[in-house]
Formats: sequence, structure tokens, C-alpha cells
Amino acid sequence: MLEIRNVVKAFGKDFKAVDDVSLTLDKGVVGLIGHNGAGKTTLMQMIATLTSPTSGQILFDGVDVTRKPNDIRRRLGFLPQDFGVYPNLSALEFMQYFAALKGVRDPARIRHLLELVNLHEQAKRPAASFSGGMRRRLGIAQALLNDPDILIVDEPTAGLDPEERLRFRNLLGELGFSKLVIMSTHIVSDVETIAGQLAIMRSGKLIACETPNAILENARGQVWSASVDAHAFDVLRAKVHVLQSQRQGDRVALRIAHPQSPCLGAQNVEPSLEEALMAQRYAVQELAA
Amino acid sequence: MMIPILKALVLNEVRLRMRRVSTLVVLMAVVVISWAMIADPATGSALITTGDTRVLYTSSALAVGSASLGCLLFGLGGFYLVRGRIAEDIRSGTGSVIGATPVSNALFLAGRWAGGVAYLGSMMLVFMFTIMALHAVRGDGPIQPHIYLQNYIMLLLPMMFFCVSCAILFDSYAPLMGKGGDVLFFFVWVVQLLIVVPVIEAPKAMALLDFVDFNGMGASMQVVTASLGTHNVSLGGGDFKASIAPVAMPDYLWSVMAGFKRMIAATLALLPLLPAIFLFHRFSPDKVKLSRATKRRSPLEVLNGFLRPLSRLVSPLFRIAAALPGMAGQVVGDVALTFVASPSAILALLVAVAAGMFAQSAALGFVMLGCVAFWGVLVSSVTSRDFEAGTDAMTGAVRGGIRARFVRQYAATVVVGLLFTGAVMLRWVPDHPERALSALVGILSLSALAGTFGRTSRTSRLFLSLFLFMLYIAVNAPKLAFVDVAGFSGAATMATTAIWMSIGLAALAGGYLFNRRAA
Repeated sequence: MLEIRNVVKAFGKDFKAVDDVSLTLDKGVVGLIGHNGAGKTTLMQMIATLTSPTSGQILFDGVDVTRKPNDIRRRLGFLPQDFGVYPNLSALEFMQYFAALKGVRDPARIRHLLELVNLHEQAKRPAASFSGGMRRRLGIAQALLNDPDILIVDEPTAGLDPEERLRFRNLLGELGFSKLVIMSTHIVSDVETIAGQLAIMRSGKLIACETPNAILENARGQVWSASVDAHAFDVLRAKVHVLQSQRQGDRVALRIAHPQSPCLGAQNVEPSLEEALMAQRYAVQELAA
Repeated sequence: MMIPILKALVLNEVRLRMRRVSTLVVLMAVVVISWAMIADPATGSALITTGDTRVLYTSSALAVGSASLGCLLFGLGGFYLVRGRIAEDIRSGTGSVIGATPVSNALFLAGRWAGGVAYLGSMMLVFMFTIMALHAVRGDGPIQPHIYLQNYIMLLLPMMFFCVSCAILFDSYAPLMGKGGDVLFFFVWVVQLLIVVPVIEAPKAMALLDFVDFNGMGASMQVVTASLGTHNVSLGGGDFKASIAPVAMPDYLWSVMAGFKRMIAATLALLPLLPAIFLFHRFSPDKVKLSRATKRRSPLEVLNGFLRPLSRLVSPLFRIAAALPGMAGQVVGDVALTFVASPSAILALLVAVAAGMFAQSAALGFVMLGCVAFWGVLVSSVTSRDFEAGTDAMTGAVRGGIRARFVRQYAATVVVGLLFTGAVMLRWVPDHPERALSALVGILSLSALAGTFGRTSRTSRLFLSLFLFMLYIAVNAPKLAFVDVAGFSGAATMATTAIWMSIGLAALAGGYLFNRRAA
């Protein structure tokens, strides 16, 4: 469905925001994970045809999106990380405007989407008066107007409360049954239950694209649990990557990412996805060093 | 402690403004406009004339003449160029951070004021250097930088202080932050011009008015008439007879008393800062929000809120737009958005069409002027509204993408213009086809300028300031063919129409290329 071939996006001579990324994606939810500045947003903007790659190709159903951007735009829904709404426009009018831009003729579609995101009762309210969560929902409704085959959502859960986040996550998970949903985030819990694949970026490069189970499998044997006193903790944290520390009386309960047992009494434990990703990240860092 | 904070605030302002593409665009516009403002004596016109006699292009004549025109231009445009930084703080989210710092309102606004003065001052310097370069080409005597500097300080300093102080006041008080404030300042500027006549006619009795002549037009006329010994002076552009020997102005035009008056005016120009300190919203969410759509507190917002039901008349356009293929549908969508977002425009359109259809033929020029004025203000933000509202990434990801967005927004601007002016144009076609052509070219060219200035500066204010300035000149100089951009007075000629066509095409090409590069 979507094939990214050796894509590079350079700014100036020295900086590559995206560096030689290759990736093939099919229907389902893909979590694009990486720290701030890893190149996630730039990659998504290139797929959304907002900016062109410096080199490489992005093919959607075999068509180069740089050469024929309108082919993907017809089948694309895009929700940027930061977006606003026009002042003085109701949610309904906001949707009608985007329906006009996308050539969506069916007015029932707008009503259906507003119901889907639970905004139908607020359809006539000025969109500018909406809370952050309501705006996000309006944004996703806008992105779904043309019933896209590919949905790109950049940090969709940023700033949402837990209930809104759960609602959003479930919605994207359901959409992933029939569409390719690319969702960038640095909150692992947002994608661990819905993503079929995780693409991990670091400094512009794609360092892995695997299923969550494969990432967990790779990290098995590298995450440890230990309980040490405060002095030992100070010594230990200078040597190993501490994933979690919690004071328990005069001792400190730790979870540590390390290839071998980090200290006496450490027990090998089942990693969470977040811990597995951190363990993978530290391994890559050490390899690079 | 205050000085380092002030220094940091001012430096931040200067850095922010100077690193923008829009500043480069403004600087280029200043160079072009200042060069075009000074008539070439070879054409039979000169910057200053007395009767049929030309005043030689010496340093003092060029300095006082150009500074006077600068007062007129920057007295209006300067306000629009400077304001908007506080709205930018709100948009970027830094406003609430600033509001939570211990910096006092007075210090913060002083920093903003000084930054605005530094920015506008740099524009003035560019303006002055352009005139000095022109002096080297067309001048009649040596270039005397100190004479230029003296005249520019005397005339432009109070104007600059007043403009920036008003911009700070309008940005500090939430109800004046939007387009309503933009329009209100235009009337403030007009009031400034109205006091010129009493200042010139009775300089001694009207001494108090001298002190509030911030724009300096009255002061410049006073010194020019005093130095030439006659009130029969044309400042800005007038015809002369080449057979009559030209006269020269003295080098030093400013007496101690005249200079004293200007310094008092410069001090009084700071007065708007006082209410600004007390009215400053300090980014309080109770007073300002990222979007103030629900507040409806400025007169224009109150009117738009009141007329909100009218938007139902236009909403069906969205469905039509969705049904139309390709870019045509998107253009109709943008037209619909323009009206739905400003329901007052729907009422204005109805009035414009009715007036265009039923007004007497002799009044059509006036109707056209009103239509173009409303339309210009309305469409000034068409190519910047996506950026200002934060929807630019979403509207860039639809069919046509960012590249086509500029073209369709230009087309929507033209369509809205034709809706407003079409009735008048059609009535002109049988009897005054050249006037109808001039109006059509005017709409096309002004749309291109609105689109390009909006796209490059990402704000509506650059176009708005130049547009309102041009309209003012058009109203006050109805015989001036060049400013009769849409057949208001019938003074336009085929030559001026051709010039506007060229300007429009150049602006459209420039905007398209800029947008293409930025995409």
C-alpha cells in the first residue's frame, strides 16, 4: 500500500531530518515512535505531500506521491500535531468547508462523522470555543471526511485527558481494521494496544520496524528488577540505565535495562513495551558509541 | 535590573522582526514606493512647486518633501506594520508564559514600544537612504546627510512615536486587537490629517494643535511656506513651467520654536502608552484567548455575532462547492468561507449589489469606491487566514496541496471582488467600457497584491495599510489617474490601467513563485 524508499529530507548541507528511511506499510495501525526531533513529523509531512523528499521515493499503491501528489491526497486524511480552527465558524461549517475542499458531496457524511466523534450535539457551536479534546475530535472528523485509505495523525493524544485519550485510541484502533493509520507519538501506551507495527526513529533514521511482540521478544533477558539501599543506588545508576526507581522505606526498588545482571540479587523480569523500547534504544546508543 | 530586562526585550523584538521574510518584503516595498513618490522634473512635475515654479531638488527640499510624504505613508502604514506582536504571542503560546513572569506591565510594554520604534526607525532609514540615492540621480545640489537627518527627525519622530504607541495600546486592549482596531486606527489617522488645515491657516492661534500634529503634515507645510514666503505651495507633486527659473530652499528650515513644538509633539505622542499600561490584558485567558470567536467584543465582532443568522444564506454554497469538480469547487468553498466567517460581509454584499443596480449613473463611482473599500478589508486576510487560524497544514493536504492553495485563494478573492463590484461594472460596460475595464483590472491586480502580501508576510496588515493609504489618496486626489485603480473617479487612462495590469501580473507571479518555493 505505502512504500517508502530511501527517503531523505535535508535542511541545508549538514542536517538531515529524515535520513535514508525505507519502509513498507499495509492496512493497520502503525505507531511511529521516537524522541522529539527524531524526524517523525517531517516523515509524516512528506507522506501527506506537504513537503517533498530531498531524495528517495514515496509510493502509494505504486504511484510516486511526489510526482502525482493528488493521487494520494484524494485518499488521505491528515491531522497535524498543532492545528486551529477559523474564528466565527461553527463545527458544522468547519466540516462543510473541508468537505468542499475535499469534494465530499454527501452531507450525511458530515453528520455521521460528527456523531462518530460525539460532537453532533455541539455542531452549531463555534469551533473556537471547543476544549482541546473536542478540537482534536473535530480534527479527526475532518481527516475522515473523504473516507481515506490512509490516515496520518501526528501526536493526536497530546494534551488530552485520560478519558479522551482512551476514546481516541479506540477510535484509531477501529479505523485501523480497514485503513492504514500512521500515528506518531512518544507515549508508548497510546500505541501498544492498537498498533500492529511500531516504526522507531532516532536522529532521522529508522532503527526498527517490528511488531510489538517482536520488540518485547528482543528485550527479553535485558530488563531486571532489584532492590538496593540508597548508597548502592547512587553507585548503580552511574553504571546502568535505570528505567524506574521507587523509594520503599530505606531501600530503592529498581527496574534496570542491562544486557547482564546489573547487581547482586537482580531478577530478570518480563519487560513492558516501553521498557523494551528503552532497552532497544540504549542498546543502539551503546552500539553507536 | 530594569535596563538589562529592557535591553533583552528590545533585542528580542528587533531580532524577531528583522529575521522575517515579511520585513524584506516591506523594505523592498519601501524602496519602490519612495522612489516612485518623487516626481522626475523631466516629466514636468516636481516634489515641491510654488505656483508654476519648481523648487530645486536640494537636500533640504528633498528631505522635507520626502519626509512629509513619509509622514503620510508611515503615519498609517507604520501602525499596521508594528502591531500584531502580542497576538503572535497568544498564537504561539508564549503569551501565558510572559504573563506569569515577574516583569511589570510598564516594563514589558516599554520593551515592545522600543522594539517597535527600532523596527519602524529602520524603515525610515531605508526610506531616507533611498531618497538620498535618488538625490544622487535627480538632485540639484550636494547630498547633505545632516540636513536629511534634521528634517526626518523633526517630522518623522513624533509620527513614529505616535504610531507605535497606538499600536501598543490597540494590542494591549482586547477589544481593539482584531480588524475592528485596524479600521478604527484608519479613522484616527484621518483625524490627524483633518487638523493639518487649521495648523497651516492659523499657526499662532492654533498652537495647541501644533502639539498634537503628530503626523507632521501641518508642521512641514508651516516650514515650507515660511521658507518660500508664500502659501501657494504644492507639496508632494505638482506641475511647473520649465520656462520659469526654479527657486531654491534654504538649507536650514527649522527654527528653534518649530523644533521645540515638534519635541513637545514627540513627548505627547507617548500618551497612548498610559492607558495601555492600565488596560493591558497581560494574556489573561479571561480577556484574550487563542481565538476570541466567542467573545464578540470588538464592534466588528459584535456586528458579526448579531448578523450570524445571515450565514445560513451562504452555507448552501459549501454543498455546491463540494459538488463542483476540481479547483472550481475549492474556489467556491473559499468564497463561502469568506462570507460565513464574516456575516457582515453578506449584508454589505446585498447593499453593494442593490446600490450597483439602482444608484444613479453619476453616483456609481462612489458606489464602486465603497464596494472596493469593504471588499479590500474583507479579503486582506484570505491568504493569511489559514496560517493565522492554524489550519494551514490541513488545507495544504487536500487536492492541489499548498501550491494550488495560493491560486485558488487568489481566484476566490477575485470572485468576491466581482460579486461586490460586478453590478457597477456591468452598468459601465455600454457607456464607459474603459472605466469597466479599469475596474476589472483593479480587482484582478488588488487581489494579486492582497494574495501575495498576505502569503509572504502571513498577515493581512501589510496589504491593508497600503490599500487604505491608496484609497485615501484616491478620495482626496480624484484627478490623479494612477490611484483611480478601479474607475472610482473616471480619471484612469488606458496607460494607468496597463500599469495596474502589469503590477498585478508581477505580484501574482511573485506570490506564486514564493508559494511554490515555500511549498
